[in-house]
Amino acid sequence: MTELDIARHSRLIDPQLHIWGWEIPVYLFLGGMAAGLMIVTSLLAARRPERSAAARWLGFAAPLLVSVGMGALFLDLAHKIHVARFYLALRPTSPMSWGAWILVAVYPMSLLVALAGLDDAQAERVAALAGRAGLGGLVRAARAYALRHAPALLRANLWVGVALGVYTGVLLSTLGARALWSSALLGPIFLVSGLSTGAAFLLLFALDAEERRLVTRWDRAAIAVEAALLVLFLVGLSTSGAAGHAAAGLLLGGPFTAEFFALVVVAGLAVPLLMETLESRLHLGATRIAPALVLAGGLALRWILVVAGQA
Amino acid sequence: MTFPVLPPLELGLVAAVLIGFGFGFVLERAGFGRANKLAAQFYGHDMTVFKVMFSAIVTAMLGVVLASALGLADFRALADHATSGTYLVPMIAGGFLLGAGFIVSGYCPGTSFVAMASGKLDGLMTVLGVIVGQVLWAELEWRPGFARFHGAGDLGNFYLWELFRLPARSGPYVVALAVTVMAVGCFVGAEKLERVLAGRSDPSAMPTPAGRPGRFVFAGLAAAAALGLVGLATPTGARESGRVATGLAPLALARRVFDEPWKLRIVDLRSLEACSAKRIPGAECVPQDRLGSLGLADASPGRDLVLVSDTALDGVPAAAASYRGRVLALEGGWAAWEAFALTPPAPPTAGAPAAELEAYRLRAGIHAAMTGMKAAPPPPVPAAAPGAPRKAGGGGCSG
Amino acid sequence: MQRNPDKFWNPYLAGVALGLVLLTSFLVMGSGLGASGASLRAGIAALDLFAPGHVASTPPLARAAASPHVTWLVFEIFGALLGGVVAAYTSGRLRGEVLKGPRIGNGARLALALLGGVLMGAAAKMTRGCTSGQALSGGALLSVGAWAFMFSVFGGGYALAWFVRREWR
Repeated sequence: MTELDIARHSRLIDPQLHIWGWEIPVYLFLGGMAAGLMIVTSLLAARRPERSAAARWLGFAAPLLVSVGMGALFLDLAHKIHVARFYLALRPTSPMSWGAWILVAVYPMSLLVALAGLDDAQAERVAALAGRAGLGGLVRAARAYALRHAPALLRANLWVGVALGVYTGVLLSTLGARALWSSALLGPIFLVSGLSTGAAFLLLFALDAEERRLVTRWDRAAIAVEAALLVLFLVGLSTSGAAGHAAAGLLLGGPFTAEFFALVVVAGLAVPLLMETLESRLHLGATRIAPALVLAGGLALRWILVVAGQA
Repeated sequence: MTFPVLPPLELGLVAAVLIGFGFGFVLERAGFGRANKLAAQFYGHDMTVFKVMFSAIVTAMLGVVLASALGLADFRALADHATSGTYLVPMIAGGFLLGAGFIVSGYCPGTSFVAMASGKLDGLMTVLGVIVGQVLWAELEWRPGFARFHGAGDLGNFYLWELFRLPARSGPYVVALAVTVMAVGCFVGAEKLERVLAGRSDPSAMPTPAGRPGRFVFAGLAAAAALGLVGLATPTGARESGRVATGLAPLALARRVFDEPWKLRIVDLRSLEACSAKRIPGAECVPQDRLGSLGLADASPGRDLVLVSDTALDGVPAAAASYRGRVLALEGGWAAWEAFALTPPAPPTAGAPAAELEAYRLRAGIHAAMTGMKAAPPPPVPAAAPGAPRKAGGGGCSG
Repeated sequence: MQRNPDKFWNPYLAGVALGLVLLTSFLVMGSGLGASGASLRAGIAALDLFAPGHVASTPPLARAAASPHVTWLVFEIFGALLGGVVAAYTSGRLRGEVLKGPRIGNGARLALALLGGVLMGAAAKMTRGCTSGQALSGGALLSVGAWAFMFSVFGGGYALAWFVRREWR
């Protein structure tokens, strides 16, 4: 992306403000999902020392997803060679600068927590794999360190996850030129949406019954909070003056209404919430459809907000 | 409040998702996501498809009938809006083809979506097949050889009460009652048939018996049909003047004259002199007292009849009311047309909004086209169409 | 609690429920339910991917691509998919499988499903609507074409049923 630190939006002065393509929503989605995964896996590890094999391995999902997301982000950079400059300075007023540093913290934190979450046999397999690259000793040492400081690391991992989740929303909301994004609620919305997509990602794998019950409950709570925040977001925008009113109109009768309500509200929130509630009420078998819908809805939310914000 | 509501496009799409949700949910719960159950209809031992479909048709029909009896909707206007025209030849041929595809694939296009949603791979294949078939015929339908078949038997918007030559006012109600009676009769017959064949039915497609709820439904449908007939006897505003011609604004008429003149039959009811001097392109000059000589009752109903009089028309002349197609009246009559199409529009002031500019361009274009036209050919001599009485159509239960 | 996947709604009550959905569509939108239009739009999207410009030069496709009613059908079918998933899930019928009679293999069944789909797709374009758009919606509004179509669908099904009995029985 081109560094944007302007707050004006005039077609005559900046004819090319519509510059963010598919890479940004994908990055925001994967980043938010990784944040949610860091939070959920930390909570799960703190709740239950005994965990299924799948839940243990899934600790590695967060750094993996962040890497894929950053790959998409890298594709979007106008000056790829300049990526290093993010790390030459910390500009406290720029969310992009903050994000770059948060991403740096994500890797060691989530990898250490993931290593600590493995049981001994799994850790041996990882160490053997790393041993081929000559890193076996490093992995064992890191795991020993992580096990010694497990409670503190879990807490830190949780907060880095929260920071990452909020940052994905704040990244948009500091660009004051876009009326749709100029809401303080965007950070919390992206955080809870990331939480629910992270939980949904876990539900795609073979968790045991008790883990599934917990994660489903968190997912339902996150969906409900997200729906409430979205209502507040739209109400806040439409009562905030002409520009905000027009921006909210994009989603309330304007050209993005149908996509927003069909993909995000109905398919991404209402239907999975209904299915997950009925699953526990009627004791139905587990399904991967509801989490898949949550994931699709999370991607659609970011996609529509990014595209509509630039309209 | 009158129906239909017709929300703006984007809100309508949101409504579409909700309505579709109900559609898919009910289809699945009725068993329409299961190919064996659908196919069993054609082996006689499980009439679920027939029962569900006809009770749905009767319910929706009675709902619309009741709404029109209460003056909330207009059956004819709603039907004109919601149904396609009747093209008898491709519809019968396509019906057979669709029936064949139905028994081969086990689904119809709508239920295949539901089957796909519930994880059935054969449903997915059918959905893909339907997509291919739709595109295939869309590629063919307009090519020279196929276009004639695709448009053959064009009767316009044509309804059962017109087929049976019932009056336009009471027709929908009478036919609705008849359809209800026929459907309930068929339901009872279907129950009997299932019981007779129950011995050799296979367990994969067991019929679901009517039971007590079924009898309630029969009674409810009969009661609703009776209510509709009662509503017919109570005069309400919408039906007092007999057949009411739908209004057609000058702009809409101008658009249709340009876009699809072959679907219009414009009849100018003004005096012969006035009409000969100036008229809407393609109009026939038939003074009102000679309208009967056109034999409109037996004319092909494929085109919409547009009536043009001096000023706004109050009530359709009897001779035009017998026309079986749509009858439209030009709103405001010739005076409105003259003011709209034959008077140059006032140019918009500087800084006018885009919508106003657009309207000006459109009107200026219409004005130029209508007044710059070459002199129209002499009006055709009105001649009575030889009226062969129509053969009464067949009906009855399909079972 | 185990759900019985062979238990369906009473057909008449299901019919009344379907009729009420259809009635809602009539009264709110002024148009009925449909399905095949959404398929056509999917085909158009695929064509646009592989042969851009072709759609615009083919009048029936261009008309469908621009029609707001067809867009409405796409969203309606999207809702129908969601409704189908929820209904199938809560009734214990949500599972990947191939439905067929006992005397036919999976491959043959899938091929026949595809073939039947192609036939229906072409037929539904010809008849300006499928069993949902034409028979159900047009039938409820007493259109002559819809009733003629409906009787021929049943006629075609019964006529061919004997020849494909190995697929189902």
